[in-house]
Amino acid sequence: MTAVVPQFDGVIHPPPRLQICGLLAAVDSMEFAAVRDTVGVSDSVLSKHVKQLEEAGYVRVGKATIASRQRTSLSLTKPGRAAFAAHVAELRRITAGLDGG
Amino acid sequence: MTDPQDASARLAGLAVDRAVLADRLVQPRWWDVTLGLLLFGFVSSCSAHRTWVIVAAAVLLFAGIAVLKAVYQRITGTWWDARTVGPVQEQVRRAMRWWLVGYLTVLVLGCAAEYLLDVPGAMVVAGAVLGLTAALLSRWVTRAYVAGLRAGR
Repeated sequence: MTAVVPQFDGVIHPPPRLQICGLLAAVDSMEFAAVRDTVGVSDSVLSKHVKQLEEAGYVRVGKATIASRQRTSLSLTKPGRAAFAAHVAELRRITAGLDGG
Repeated sequence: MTDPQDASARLAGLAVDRAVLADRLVQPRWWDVTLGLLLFGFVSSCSAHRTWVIVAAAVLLFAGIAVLKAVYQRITGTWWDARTVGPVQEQVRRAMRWWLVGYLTVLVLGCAAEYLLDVPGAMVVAGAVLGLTAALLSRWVTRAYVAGLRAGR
C-alpha cells in the first residue's frame, strides 16, 4: 500500500465540496438526491459545487433513465479519490499539530 | 490553508457524514435471503440433470442479481463494492477469497456425489450450503463496512 502524501486542495476544502467528496469516497456511486439529502443543501447549490468538482476532474456525473425517470449518480474519479485522500491527510497533519500543543 | 481548529472541525464533520451514510447503507434482510435463494436455485438445479433447467436457473440467477443491484440502489441511493472502496477492503477481499475456496470445494464435492456416485439430491444440499453462506456473507460484509465507516476508518 502506498503512503498518501498530505496536500491541501483548495477545490475540495470548502464545506459542501469536502462533504460531497467525503460521501463519494466511501462508495462507488451515490445518487444526486441521496447526496443532497445527506449534505443538506438545495438542488441548485449541490449542482453548483458538483460542477466545480467535475471541472476539476474530481467527480463524474452519470445519467440514466430508469422507468421513465432520469436518475443522476455521482462518483469520484481516480484523481478525485487521490486528491481527497491527500487533503484529508493534510487536515490530519494540521490537527496533529493541535494535539501536540 | 486552514488552522488546526478549522481542520479539526472539518474532520469531525466528515466523521458525522460517514455515520449518517452508514445508517442508509444497510439492506433489508429479505435482500440477503433473496440472494441466497437465487444461488440455491442455480446450484440445486444441477440435480435435475436437464440442461434446459440448469440454463434457465443460470439466467434467473444473473437476472435476479441485476434486479437485486437495482433494488439496492433504489433503496439506499448508493452502490459500493467493499473489495475496492471503503474502510474494510482488505478484510473483505480475504473473506471473499476464503468463501470462493469453500464455494468451489462444496461445488466439486456436490458434483462428485451427484454425478460420479449417483447420490440423488447432492447438489440440492450443496446449493443449500452455498446459498446460506452467500446470504450470511452478504450480511457480514455490510455489517463490517458500516462498522468501519462508523469507526472513522
